[in-house]
Amino acid sequence: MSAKKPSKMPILELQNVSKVYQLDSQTLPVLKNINLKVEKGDFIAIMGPSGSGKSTLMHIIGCLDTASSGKVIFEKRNVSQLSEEELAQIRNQKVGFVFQTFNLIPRTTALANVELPLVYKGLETAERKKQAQEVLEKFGLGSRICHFPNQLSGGEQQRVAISRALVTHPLIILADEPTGNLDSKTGAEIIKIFQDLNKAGNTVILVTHDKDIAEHAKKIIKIYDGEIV
Amino acid sequence: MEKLFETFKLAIITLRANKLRSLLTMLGIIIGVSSVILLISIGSGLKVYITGQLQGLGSNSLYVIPGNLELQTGGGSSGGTPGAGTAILKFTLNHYRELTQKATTLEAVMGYSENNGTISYGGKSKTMQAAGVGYQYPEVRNQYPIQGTFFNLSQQEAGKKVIVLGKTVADDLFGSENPIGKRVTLSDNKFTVVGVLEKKGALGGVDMDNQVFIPFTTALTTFDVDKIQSFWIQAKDDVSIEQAKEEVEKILLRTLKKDDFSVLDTGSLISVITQVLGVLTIALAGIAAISLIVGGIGIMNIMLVSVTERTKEIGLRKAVGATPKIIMLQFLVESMVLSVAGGSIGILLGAAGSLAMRSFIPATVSLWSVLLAFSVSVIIGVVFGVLPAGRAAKLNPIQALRYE
Repeated sequence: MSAKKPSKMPILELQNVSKVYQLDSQTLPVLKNINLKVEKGDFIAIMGPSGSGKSTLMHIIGCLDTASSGKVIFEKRNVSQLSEEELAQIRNQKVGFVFQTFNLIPRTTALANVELPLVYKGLETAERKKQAQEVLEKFGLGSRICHFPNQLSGGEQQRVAISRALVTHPLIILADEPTGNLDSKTGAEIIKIFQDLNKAGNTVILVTHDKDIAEHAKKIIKIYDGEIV
Repeated sequence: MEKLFETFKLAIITLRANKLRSLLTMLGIIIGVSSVILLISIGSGLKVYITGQLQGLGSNSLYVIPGNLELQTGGGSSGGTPGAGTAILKFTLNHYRELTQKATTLEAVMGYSENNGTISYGGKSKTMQAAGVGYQYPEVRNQYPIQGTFFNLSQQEAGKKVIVLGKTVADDLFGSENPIGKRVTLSDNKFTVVGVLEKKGALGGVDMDNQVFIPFTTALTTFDVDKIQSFWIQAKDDVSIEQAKEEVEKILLRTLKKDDFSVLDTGSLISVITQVLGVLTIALAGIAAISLIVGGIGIMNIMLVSVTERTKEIGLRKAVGATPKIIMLQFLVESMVLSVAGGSIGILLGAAGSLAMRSFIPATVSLWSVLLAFSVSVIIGVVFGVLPAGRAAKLNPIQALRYE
């Protein structure tokens, strides 16, 4: 997370990416010929109404989903040729997800939730705890590490989720409507966190339908009916 | 290894979060394993007990029982009382005389028959087993009179109405009174009490002192039967048991057919009983093992519920880098923890039950039955965990994350 001068090497490139869902005999196009370059230090907001395909686009960027056609190149590697294990490794170490509904594991402490990506990375227990604690403290949750998700406020839960996304020092932070379940004041705090992260050199992609939130990003991509407009 | 330990810890945490559910899920395995352990230990305990009883009778003993044992195994399975088989009785006093008078290899021949009778004295009466035995009974059973004497050869040959009481019968009828020389009534016949046998205790819950002994010759007339149920024969010390067996068969074959009787030595009797008990134990344990399968299905059921419940969690785990293999392992370890914990509790319960059985029979928990139960639990955990774990591993992360 050191503030390096943004180099102009693309981390991720989408070339003519399309996504089609097959529902029984019907084919439902969700994304059509998307071309997109994400470079280090970018702060991109993907904007569009619900059903426009922005979440699907985010899933493809985050290697959670694969394109029906076209090329997704993640750090010079063609994603469609990668195995399930390799995709999991990219999600684990190169991408940090933040979700609208936080998606913390219930009955599991904040610390253990943040530790989770490090568990799958294969770190030792002591090292894991140390790193997870550091990130939580950075987001002002030092006194909350042993709390369970249901003992935390919405803002706190989202900050735990952001800690979880950042603990592996990912190349890209992907946030899907991160303020959708928060009141406007807390939402503004969360957006501030993303801005600060970007200033520190992190690449952030924010998916939202809210114009006010999108305006905090350096670049806005509007998507409508599966196409970038 | 480190990873596996992590997964194991996680499984414990998850299962502890649903304590009651986990316990109920384990119940099937607990019941199955404990009953398998208990039944096997009872079976082997019975085997030890009966074998010990028979070996106490000496290695130069022969039993002659009706029917061909090879055709009718059921006749030999009645434990320490040969002759209670279902075959048609063919032995008469003539056979007894021929065996005692003509055989050269035999030391002693004892007739044996069991009858149910009612004994009464001084207004008190009691129903018990009246055994017709030979005068050699005390030496055979290693049970001697504490009062009076056992009846002798001449009383037996003359068919005298003399009776020896078991301790329970003597206590019930006479209390503190000395029974020797008293006249008791057995099945409408007057008998003179000549002795009381020392206490023998219970055998498999049956009070062995709740019976009376009369000469088997007298038993024929008293109970109005003309057949002796079986013979107990002791061979001379200087002849081999095979020689004695051959001679007994030769003598009986003069008047009986080959299928009318079987001559058993202690060794073959033990092997027959051991075989029957072994088959019985395996059959019973097999039935108990069915509940293990039911328990396994219970585990599978609850694991499927758990996968559905935790769909969102599985999606999240995949989003932060869990491979399908890791998810599979997580659920597999969970189902194995359930089944192995259930199996271990079952082993302890079964062992405790077997310990409780010790007041009746020398039941022992064998190492192999514990190992068997343990490995069966592990196998159940894997077999019934594979389907739910596979389902979890195959979940599409996006759909799983959206699952409500």
